[in-house]
Amino acid sequence: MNQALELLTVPFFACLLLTGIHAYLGLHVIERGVIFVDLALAQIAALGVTFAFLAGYGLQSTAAYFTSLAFTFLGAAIFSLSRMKGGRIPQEAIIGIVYAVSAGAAVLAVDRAPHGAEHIKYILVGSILTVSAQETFTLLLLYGGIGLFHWVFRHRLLLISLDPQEADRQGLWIRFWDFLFYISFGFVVTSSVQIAGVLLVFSYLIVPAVCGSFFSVRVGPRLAIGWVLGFAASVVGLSGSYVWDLPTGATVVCTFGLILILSAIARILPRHLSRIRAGEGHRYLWGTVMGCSALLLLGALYVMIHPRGSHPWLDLADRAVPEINLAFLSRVERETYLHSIDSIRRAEAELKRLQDMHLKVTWGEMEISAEMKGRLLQTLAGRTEIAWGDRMVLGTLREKARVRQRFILGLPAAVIGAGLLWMSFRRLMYYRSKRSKVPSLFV
Amino acid sequence: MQSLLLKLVTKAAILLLTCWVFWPSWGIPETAKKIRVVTTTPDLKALVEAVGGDRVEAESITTGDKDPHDLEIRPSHLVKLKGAELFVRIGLDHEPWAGRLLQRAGNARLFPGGEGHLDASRDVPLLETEVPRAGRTPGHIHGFGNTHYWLDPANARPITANILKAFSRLSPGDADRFGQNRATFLDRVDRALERWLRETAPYHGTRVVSYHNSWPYFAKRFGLEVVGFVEANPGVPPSPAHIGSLIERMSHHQVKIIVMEPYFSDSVPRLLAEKTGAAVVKLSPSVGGTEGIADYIALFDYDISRLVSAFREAGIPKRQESGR
Repeated sequence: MNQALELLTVPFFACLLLTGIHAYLGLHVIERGVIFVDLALAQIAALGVTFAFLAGYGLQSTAAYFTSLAFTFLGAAIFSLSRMKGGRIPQEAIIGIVYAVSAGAAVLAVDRAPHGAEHIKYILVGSILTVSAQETFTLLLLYGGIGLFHWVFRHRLLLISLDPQEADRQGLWIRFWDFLFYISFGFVVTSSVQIAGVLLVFSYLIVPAVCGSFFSVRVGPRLAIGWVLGFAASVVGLSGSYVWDLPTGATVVCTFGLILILSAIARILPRHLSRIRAGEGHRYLWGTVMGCSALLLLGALYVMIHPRGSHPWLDLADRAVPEINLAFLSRVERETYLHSIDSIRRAEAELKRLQDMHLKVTWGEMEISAEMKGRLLQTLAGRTEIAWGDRMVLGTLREKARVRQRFILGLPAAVIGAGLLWMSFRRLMYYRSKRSKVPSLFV
Repeated sequence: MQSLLLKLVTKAAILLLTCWVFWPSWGIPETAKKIRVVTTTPDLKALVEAVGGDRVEAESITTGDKDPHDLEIRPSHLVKLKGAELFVRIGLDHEPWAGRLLQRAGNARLFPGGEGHLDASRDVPLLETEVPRAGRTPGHIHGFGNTHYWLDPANARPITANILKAFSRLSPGDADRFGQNRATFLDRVDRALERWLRETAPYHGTRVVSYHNSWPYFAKRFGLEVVGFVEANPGVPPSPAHIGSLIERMSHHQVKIIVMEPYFSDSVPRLLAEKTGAAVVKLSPSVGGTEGIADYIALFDYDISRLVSAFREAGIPKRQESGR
């Protein structure tokens, strides 16, 4: 398994580079309110590559690279010109239009080309796992250069992003600086999208910046928080992909989602904790009761209306306390029920063993005769089929139990749910009437 | 006054459009003599043409150079199907879009079970039928046996037999001619197959890794052993652990060839190749998959020559005895 770890070293450094530049650019993007500009620029660059490809140049050729660059400049020009002072059309609308039209144009352009669709797909769906050391080094140079540019002109660029009115008052040529900003941004996004894919780049751009602005309004701390969280997401995502054997890019994206949720909780928790300490704990308690009782009521109603449907909450209860279902089955049914559960467990272990054996046999690590090989395949299929049969038996018995539980379990649950819901509703209304101010979750 | 005119024009336009879309026999000239056939893949089109000769006019819905699993339905597809007398498909859930397409075209004789509906898999000896059917099937692993059966040239026989039956029913007067066409074609296939087998015989039993599980018929016919897949779950990018164990096994067992379709991303195969010293060979899974592959025999000519030269370049030792 050392191979897998070794495979992840280069992607890890690539992820660090992505964190470095995107957490910073994300800050600009959030402040400007142009969240999807990276998708639009990547799509425009892809359109450029497509045109070069149609003109007969290879996907990796310099001609293709410069065409895509020219298209990116065009996109930068559009975005810098479409910023309107107090206009009624938000810039996000222009960005969306540019995205949709260039995506559509690319589809039309390659429709008749051999392997057309795949070519566009390659440009937009990089795979972080297969990034090479050389590509990572190129990224380092490119991002370093652009980072330097942003460092040198940081005052102007940040001022325009954070406070365009003030920048205008100081007499900065906003359209020009916007153009430079979008060009540098286009450079970064098109090269990182080719390596990491649209989803991953979007996550690196937006999530650290959003988390940063949860905790601070100043640029420095926001950047620091973004970098730390981006680093954490890279480490956790890559190791998660290794440990649980998952596709790498998707794992990192989901880690970002998790980190955002955790940061949001960390952001709002202190405030709410202090409220609880201040003696408002019962409000939270009754709020929770209200949510839970509403769920209970809905679940109970669903059991009564459609007992054969799927009821995850009853399944959960069943797994924790099997006696609930067993109580509703006859003695014979009970035996079958327990037998099926046991049989599925054994079949799963057996299947795993057989699959390992099958793998070894295909690779020739284990010699068996052709006849045995055939038997192995048949046993594999047979066992799988038997396990499915057992699952079906289990499902049928569960359904039987559900039908019998329909009113015996459903009615009391519904009554309890409705009662609690009413009580908590009354309580909360009472607290509300005592306090005129409506507290918000985030403020 | 002007708005009234506008309304009238709009209504007329809508009426015209509706007629155009729903007119059942749109596009069929009354004097058509050729049998109009629509196939789902260019390979079936090639086989249909081999049997029908100049008495049929065949068109394929997919082109060989794109993944046949995701097809975007176009108006022209519907027009083709409305005028067709025979619809030939690979079957076995190879074309998940076929049902929707036929419904939309609304040509009742082409519906499954209809006289113009031919499932080419009907008499083909299938592989991997032991995949369990009772459960859900993850990804698009095929539940009724592997669907890539046209990649064994010997299967041209049962496929064309059914095509011949369908044609003879549609145009009884030409039955003899169709039979003759088929015999000539199969003769050509047999002779070519002998040549292909001679070329691949020295490499009998060579182990390869393929991108998806789409080459079992080809591998069985030409003596390859497919020992692993780049994407174990079709459509889901492989995990580092899967790639890692593949690299370990490939290096340990000296697997030197990775076979893939030209339309999949070769980033992971290239990574594997780089780490293990194997070569990535892009074989065409279909007629028209690469420029110059115009018919069924040219398909195998192309694939076999690419494969054999890849074997030679990879330095895979030839076996002295003829086959095992």
